[in-house]
Amino acid sequence: MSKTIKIILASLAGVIAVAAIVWFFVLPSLAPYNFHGQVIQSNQAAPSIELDGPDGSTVRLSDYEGKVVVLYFGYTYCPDVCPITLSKLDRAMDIIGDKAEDVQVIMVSVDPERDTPEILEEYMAHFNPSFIGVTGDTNTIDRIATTYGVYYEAAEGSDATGYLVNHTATVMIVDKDGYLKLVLPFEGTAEEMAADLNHFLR
Amino acid sequence: MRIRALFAAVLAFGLLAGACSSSGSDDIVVDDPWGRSSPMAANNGAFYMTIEGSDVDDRLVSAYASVCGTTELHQTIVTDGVMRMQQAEGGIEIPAGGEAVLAPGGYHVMCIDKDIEFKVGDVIPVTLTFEESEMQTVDAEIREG
Repeated sequence: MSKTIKIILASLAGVIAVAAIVWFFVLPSLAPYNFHGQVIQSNQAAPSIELDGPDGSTVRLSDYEGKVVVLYFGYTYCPDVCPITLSKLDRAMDIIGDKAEDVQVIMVSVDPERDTPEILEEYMAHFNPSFIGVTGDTNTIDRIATTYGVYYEAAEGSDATGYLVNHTATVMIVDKDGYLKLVLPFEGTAEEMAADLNHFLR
Repeated sequence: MRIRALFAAVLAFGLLAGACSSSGSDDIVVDDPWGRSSPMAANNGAFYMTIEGSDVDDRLVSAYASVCGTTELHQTIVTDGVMRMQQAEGGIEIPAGGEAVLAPGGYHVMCIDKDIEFKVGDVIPVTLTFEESEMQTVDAEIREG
């Protein structure tokens, strides 16, 4: 093999190696991360929340600065959608592992009339011991729901169910600095939630 | 000899016909009935299953479980991110040769005012009443979900 051919082959191998590194390592890290929900870009901190939590405590959103907060609006009488979402969030916590310590899941009750702090405490702990539920008077809940763009409305049920509550079933993520960053749809999977949470936990 | 063969053929035909009519082409088959684990603090629970239709159009008209104060058939509808739950008026359709799927986020048997905690691994009998087919009791296994 002549020297020239050797040089050409060596250069070719070099070019291929560089291209491979760019293709497999550099480009993916430059590509923007694709979230699994609606990204919120606001220069305002997430609206404040101050409600009744477990054991007579007052829970404020600002108590969790430094943690990623997952907010969900639901109620304990809800037999289908709310447990589905809370179970998914529990699986997402499993997936992210130790980093779950830096996440706080909070369910704001949209049924303050029936959801007492005691009921919420037991209900939330069933899904994950770290999850908490908060409630308060109807006016405060109304105001918080409105500021978060959450719709809820008591709807007529049967004599047995009593009223049911139609409500926005999305999951919201507030970052460590207290900014509302992402709204995830009800249909999202635990894996997608975990991936998005991981992004905020980096 | 010929008579014996004829007799055998008639017998075989009879057995076959009998097998066909009793093999349950008329019967509804309920697959994988289950319920979601839920604490005492949760007033309500839900059961899910897949119901395979018979050879006639049918309907699940009601359900009963002794651990539930009342049992209703409900449907969850999520539109534009808003969740609504409504009673399945007139029951849940089970088309002939088709199936009715009761699954999270859709149709479900709603157990209202349940008396017990639904623990993973528990088995809860649920009696289903159909418009056409005979009543059936199935064992719903409690799972996480």
